[in-house]
Order: sequence, then structure tokens, then C-alpha cells
Amino acid sequence: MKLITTLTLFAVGFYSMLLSIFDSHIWLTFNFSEGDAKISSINKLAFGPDGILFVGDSETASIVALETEDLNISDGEEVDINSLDKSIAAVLGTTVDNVKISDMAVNPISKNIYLGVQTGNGNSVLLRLNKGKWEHLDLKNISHSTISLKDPIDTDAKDRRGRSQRMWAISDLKYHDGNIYVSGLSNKEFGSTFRKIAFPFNENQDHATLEIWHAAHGQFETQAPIKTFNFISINGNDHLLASYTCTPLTVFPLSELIDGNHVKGRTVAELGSGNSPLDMVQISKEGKNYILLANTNRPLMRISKDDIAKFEKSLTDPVEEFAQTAGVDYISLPMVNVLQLDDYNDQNVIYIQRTAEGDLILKTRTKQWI
Amino acid sequence: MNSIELKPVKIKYTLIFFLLLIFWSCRQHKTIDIPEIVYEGREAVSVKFYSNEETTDLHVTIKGDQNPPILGNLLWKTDHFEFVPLIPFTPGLTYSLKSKEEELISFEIPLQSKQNARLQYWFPQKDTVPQNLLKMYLAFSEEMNKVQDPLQYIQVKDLSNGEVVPIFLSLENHLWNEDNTELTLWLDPGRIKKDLIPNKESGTPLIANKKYEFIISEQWPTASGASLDHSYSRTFFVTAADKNKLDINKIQLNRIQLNTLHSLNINFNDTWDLIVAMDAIQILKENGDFVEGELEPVQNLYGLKFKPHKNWQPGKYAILIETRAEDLAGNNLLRLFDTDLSSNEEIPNNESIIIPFEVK
Repeated sequence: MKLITTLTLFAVGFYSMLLSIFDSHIWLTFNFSEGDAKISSINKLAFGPDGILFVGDSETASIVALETEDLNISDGEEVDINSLDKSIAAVLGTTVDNVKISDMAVNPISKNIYLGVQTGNGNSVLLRLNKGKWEHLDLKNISHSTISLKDPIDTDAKDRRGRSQRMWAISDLKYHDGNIYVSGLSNKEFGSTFRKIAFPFNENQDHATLEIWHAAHGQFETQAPIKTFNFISINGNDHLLASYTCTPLTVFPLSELIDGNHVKGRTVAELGSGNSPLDMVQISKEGKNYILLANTNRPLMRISKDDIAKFEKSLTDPVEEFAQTAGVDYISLPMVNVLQLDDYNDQNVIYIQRTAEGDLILKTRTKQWI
Repeated sequence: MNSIELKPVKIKYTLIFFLLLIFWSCRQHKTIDIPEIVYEGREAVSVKFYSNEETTDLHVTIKGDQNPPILGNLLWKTDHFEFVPLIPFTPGLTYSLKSKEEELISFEIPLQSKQNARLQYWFPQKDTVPQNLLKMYLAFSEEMNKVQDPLQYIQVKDLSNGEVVPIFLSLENHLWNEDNTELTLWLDPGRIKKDLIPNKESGTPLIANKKYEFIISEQWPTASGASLDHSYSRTFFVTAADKNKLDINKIQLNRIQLNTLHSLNINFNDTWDLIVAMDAIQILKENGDFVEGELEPVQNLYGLKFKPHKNWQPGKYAILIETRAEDLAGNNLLRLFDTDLSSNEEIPNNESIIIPFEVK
């Protein structure tokens, strides 16, 4: 009798769980439609819940949510690909100089690796590495939902006159707690843009202006574009952790990033000038949380999230010496020219690296050595 | 008895001969006619061919033993196959149509479809620019290669010593327009803004009272694999930094004749960024409707010309200028590009300014 009760409870629980997953998926994709996603450029990729992949398209100044239907749970296998660019050029039937990997994202459910690839003649292709084989996602026939980035300066009248939207380079894109966060740079007026967009998409977009302290000369900056960002909890409150070129690391309370707000960030580190951040992910290992930061001219950095959370002040002193750092400490890992990275599974991160020999590699690496 | 014994042997050999003939004949059928390359514009978007092979075994690769199948769709179209690769075939490459590992036939995508690009314009076009020049625009007649770093095809030489100077900001995503024909190049803003680390370490990208040569390499590839028609070069002289906001009081308008398609000339008498201005300016009717028409730069490069689609009617009009319109140094109608935000100066935040005019 006890066994039957246990089994019944288990079945009910399992059914409820299935139902809630089902409901959640219906809710997330209720305004999706099948057809051509009309993606012109795949500049940034980020996974949200339920295998939904967000594509940042700078050319059309839009974010497209794609239903990948890639929901088979997997722990992920070791990945070790040499000559990644040659491998991609070969399956696309073109030459290496005609191919550029614009971004990488790992589906947290299936552990399949997605690459945005731009080709010289203007095509954008979304590739998926599934059990060692490259597949492509047909973007002309896919369940999707799109939102155009609103320029707060634009008027409706501009659209009526039929002029195209100004283009925005999307520098980073992340999903967090029901919202898409997007940083970017205008191509005509120099200015940092930062948006919070509710998902599922609706008419609303929050556009906050950000201000950061540049430790160079006690000067605030409003126009420097965020290169890459992530999220961090400080005293139980979610914060944006933004990394800028040359190279302030700054936190902003997410609760303040609402439409029309001008938010002053707290600079918690200067990571050394002469450098630009490329990619930022967070990982957990041995019960601790870390930020990993890939850079143009410095090795991969590891920063403890606890250290960031504990750093309560804001840098306000100038950093006079070339490449000198200040604020929260970091560890330089013996990995240079890391171009893309992502959290892969409990044990590994995955990264794209240009080796000293010039080869482009895609590999997993144990977190023990990160 | 002997003849009876010999007969089956003869039939056997005859059968073997016919079987071989049929097999050979079948083998011959596997030979595929010369594939037909299908073009859309100048792009080779698919290949058509005839085959009795199992479709599951057919695939296309770049010619070579180790190359994997190219991703794409193999379609059966009534009497032929059509392979549509994910991206168009690359001119100059040879491809193999294979059944399993066996090459059935190869085909080459010829190079003759390429069209060299012409540099149509570059902004600013003036031969003098301020030391704090913020950006340049290049516009090409053809769609340009999207993945190559534009900076590898551009050189700026300091003519006082012949040194090549890196003045532009390196970006991951290059700032091309939608059809990949216009490129925005930013001079490094971190070097322009005083006292930022790059400014302190490297100084401003351009130095006043110096002459520079801007060179564009003819090697710059187009999207179709061609290049520029020739290299381009121009020299410019650098004057002192422009530290003035734009001033709408300097704007002059010409007189418009009624019931004509005369252009409205908006002479800024200042160094406006005309590319931004074309986005930031519109002409309004008294009732708030927009006048349909086109804006383009005027010859003297100090203004824009508005060509209406319909004849001017009598009435009150206005030029609506969004305050984001800026000059070559990024100073807009409200603030300087290099503004000390720690000062107490109040910066207005109106989004647009109206300049009224009348047609009578």
C-alpha cells in the first residue's frame, strides 16, 4: 500500500512537472510563427529557456528568438576540433578567408554547440555541432519571434517616410530572468546603447542610459559601448556586470535599468589598458562562482564573484601607469587568444582559440584547469 | 552426347556476356551530363544534374579526397536533381558531385562573373578636417566582402615622416550599412576625449597642422570575390580641434517658387556630418504632416538639398532637425562630444528643433 501511494505521488508529481514544462513552453512561444526568420546577420547568440536561441542581428537592428527544438538532455561529450575554420569552410563549400565565426553558444539542455557564421558574400548561417557533425538550422522555415530595436530618437514619422532604420552593432546579448539584455554601438552617432526587452516579446523595450567612472582621470563616461556583460548577485540583488574597452569592469543594479533612467555604474576594477574584452561567462567550480573574461590583448582572466560582491566601493582614482590594473583582483590563466567561450557542463568550459601556430581550435577544457 | 553437354556452357557464357553488357550499360548510366550551374544575379546558387543514383548517396564536395559533403538541399525536380548549397558556390573553386566516395563528375565555378567595385564617395570630402574628426564614411558601388577586416585595406600616412598611423577604432562587427556598401570608420574616441587612458598614452589620432594621406588598397575584396577597380588616395590637412556645438542660427534657406519642384537648399554654413544630417532632418507641413522627398548633399558640401516629390503648395512649413545631428567632430546641437559631465553645466534634452519657413 505504501509503495502504491509512493508511486501515485511520484506519478502525480511527474505529471505536474511535465504539465508545468509544457505550460511554460506554450507561454514562451505563444507569439511565435513558422516561416522565414529574415535574419540578415548573426552577430550575437544567447540561449534562453527551453532551447530558445536568441540571435542579435545588427543589420536589421533586431533580436530574433528561434525555437531550436533541441531538447534532448545530454551531459555533453568531449569536443576537440582542430582547424575549425577549415572544417566550417569545407561544409559550406567555400574558402577560409570567406568565413568568419561571429559567435558561439551552447544549448544548456542538449550541450550542442551553435555557431553564427558570416560569409564574405553577405550570407549568415547558423550551424550546430551535433555528435561531431555540422548541421544547419533552416532560418527560412523556423518557428520564431522577432523584435526590432527601437531607437528612442526615431519617430514614427521616420518610418512613415519609409527610411530604413539606422544600423546598430549589437556588441553583446544575454537572457536573464525573463528579459533579454542588449548592448550596442550606433554606426552613425557614437553612443552606447543598452536595452532590456521582456521575453516573450511585446511592444515594450526599456532603454536606459549608463554612466561609468573611467579611472583614468576622475571622469564620467556615458558613450563608451559595453563590449560584453553578464549578471551577478550582490547582497541578494541582481546586478549587471559590464566590461568596457580599456577596461573598466562596472556593476549596475538591474532594478534601476528601466526606461528613461540614467544609471551610474560602480567601477569595481580596471583590468589594464591596451586591451578590449571579447567574451564573458560565469562558471561554478568546487562550490564557488567565477567570471571568465576573454580579451584581445591579455590572457583569459578568472575573477571571483565573491570578490566582486565584496568590493563595495567605486574606483575613483586615476590609473596613471600604462596597463596598470586596479580594484578587484583577477588571475591570468595560461590561455591566450581565446576568442569565444561558454560554460559547457559541470566539468568543462568550451572555447575557440587561435593557437600560436595559427590554428583555430574548438575544445572543451576541464574546470579544474580554469 | 557431347553436343548436349556443351549447350548449357554456351548459354552460360552468353548470359555472362549479356550480364556484363547490362552491368556496363548500367555503369554508363551513372555518368552524369555536364551539370548546369544556376545563377541568381552573379551568384551561383545551385547546380542541376541528371542521375539514376540513389539520392541518399549523392552529395557535393569541394574537389578533393578529404572534403566533407557541403551542407545544402538535394531536390528532385521531375526529371533532374538540383543541389542548393547553404551559401552560393564560390567563384574559382572546383566541386565534385559524388556517389558515396566515387566522383561522378566535377564542375568549376568560373571567375568571370566578378565585377570590380568603385569607391563612390568618402565623407568628409573636404581637404581639411579638425583634429578631433570622429568618423569617416566610405561608400562603394558593389557589395563588399563582409568578413574581411576593413582596416587591413586602409592606410593613413603621416606625410611629415611617411609613417603609417593607426587612427581607426578596431571593431569586431564592422559598421556596414544593410546592403554592405557603406562603411563607417570611427577614429578612436578614447584617443580623442582628453585625459582618457588612450588619449594620455597615444595622443589624438590626428595632429593639428599635419598633412596625411589616406590610401585604400585595390586588394579590398567585394562580396563576389572581385576587388576595387584601382587603389584610391587623397590627402588632407588637419586644423585645430572643433570645440563648438552646431549652431542652427547659421542655417540659410533659399527662396522656393510656388507650384514647382524646386529644391529646398539647407545651407548649414558649418561642418555638419551630412550623412547623419540626412537621417536627422525632415520637412514638415503646417498641419504636422511630412513632405515627401529626398535629401542629398549639395555640391559645396556645406548643406543638403531637399527635392520634393510633389510641387510646393503655398503655406507654412518647417524643417525638423533632431538634436542628434552632429558635426565632423561629434558635437551635436546640444553638447560637445568631449564634455566633462562632472561640471555643473546643464545640458538640454530636447529631441528636435524646428526652423519655420514659408512658401508663397
